[in-house]
Amino acid sequence: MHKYLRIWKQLTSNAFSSYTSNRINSASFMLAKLLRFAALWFMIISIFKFTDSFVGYSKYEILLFYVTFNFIDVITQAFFRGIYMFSRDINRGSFDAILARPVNPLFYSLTRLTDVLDMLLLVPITTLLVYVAVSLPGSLTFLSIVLYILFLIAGLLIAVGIHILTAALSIWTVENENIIWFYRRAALIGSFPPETLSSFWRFFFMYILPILLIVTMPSKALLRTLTIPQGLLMILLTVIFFGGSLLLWKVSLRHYSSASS
Amino acid sequence: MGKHTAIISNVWQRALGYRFTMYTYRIGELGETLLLVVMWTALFADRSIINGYTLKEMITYVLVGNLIGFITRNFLSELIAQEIKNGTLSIFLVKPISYFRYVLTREVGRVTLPFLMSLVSQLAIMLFFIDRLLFNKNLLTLGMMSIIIVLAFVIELLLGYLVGLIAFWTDEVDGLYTTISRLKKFFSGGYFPLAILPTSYLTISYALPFAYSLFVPTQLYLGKISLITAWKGIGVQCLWIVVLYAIIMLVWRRGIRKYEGVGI
Repeated sequence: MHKYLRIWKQLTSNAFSSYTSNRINSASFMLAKLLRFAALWFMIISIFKFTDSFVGYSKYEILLFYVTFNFIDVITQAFFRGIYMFSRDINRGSFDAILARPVNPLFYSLTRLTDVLDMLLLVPITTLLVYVAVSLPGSLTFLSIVLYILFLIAGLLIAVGIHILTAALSIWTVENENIIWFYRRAALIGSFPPETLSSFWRFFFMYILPILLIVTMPSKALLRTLTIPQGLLMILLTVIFFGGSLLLWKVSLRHYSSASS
Repeated sequence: MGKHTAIISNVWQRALGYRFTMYTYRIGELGETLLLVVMWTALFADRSIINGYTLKEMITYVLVGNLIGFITRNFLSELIAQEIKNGTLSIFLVKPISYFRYVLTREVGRVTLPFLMSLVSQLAIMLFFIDRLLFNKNLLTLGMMSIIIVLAFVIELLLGYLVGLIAFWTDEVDGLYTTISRLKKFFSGGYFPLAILPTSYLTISYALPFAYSLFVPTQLYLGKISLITAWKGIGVQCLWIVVLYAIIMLVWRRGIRKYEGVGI
């Protein structure tokens, strides 16, 4: 554990040096991230000028879904950005060098790049999350906050599981730089409550490709609309999905053919 | 003409080598469009009009707007920046074709394949929502739209070229390009119709070149702006083309003096 913490610190330090070596570019990226977040925030605020509710949710309830989505998205981006480089490693055959290192290849592939800018972005996002939470209609309870954090962790595990799945798929298909981007785009569905979708797609994105679960469950826990069976199902699905992705990774690793080396 | 066709053909062959990558990118791209359709459909569930838009108008706005967005976009800046950074630009400087003309032709080749794929996938989505789409059969309106779209495509190319040239002074331009893309998406009405924003934002958007890549042609299609406003828009676009071209020439002259051909 200590060894991996040391490796992560070194990798993060490398990333920090890289970001500071080109400050203009890093500042531009930071601005772009803020703009993206602000545009949809602004859209939600604008929409509520014409309506009082959206699929039965009030303004701050919708914003809770949106900020929770961003919080999870930014955390996965900040700590597991390395996966975006994985398909390139497979494509060029440089994954061989990673396999030869005395470190878990999955850990290294996930964490080799820390997105320092996303770490910084966590500050305004967390501040807005607190702002939205205290602005919600009805008071927060200790239990709802604890459950929110618990399901947030479960959501993060599912998101990491999806990252692992995309890496496993990269090994099979060799050229698939866009699978992770496909997930990023599909994950946008989680910015809004599941009631926005028809029952078929809701089921699909809840239980087949559990993108909706990632944001819906913690948000509903904080809104106190999550039932006990739903909560238990979420925990069960998290275990199945995360465990399944690790299993698929191991199977895929056995099929790695070192194509380009 | 022959050398221009050869450039385009080369780019197509290279892109087709990575088909799976291309397909996943397209599918992901459609996801964003579908999300907007789903969101607006849910919003219209208990009302028939939002800020002057009916559900049909809003879905038409999203689908036609995205189609136009696909037509006008390019990925020029990163390529130019790369060529400046790794010194490949030096090779082009001695070729019997101007770099400006070469990259613009190459980009036309590069964007036609994704454009055709986006067109097919976008038309498939439009076919799926055909009963919720509005059709404008007025030839004059469609003709005006085509002019605006062609000019918007040229403006986007010039903008991409200009951003790429910044690599003469800084190693990376991705951040700047991403920032401009996000600003563009916002001011072009890519997230939502600009009409739902306060009038001051709309006025700013009309003066910038971005709204003409999506919002203006789509509004014209929906009959929400007059032909006179569209003519004024074309005037603004022409002005932007002249301004951008002048800036490009200035930046190129300054940049090429600073260029060291590092990385050859």
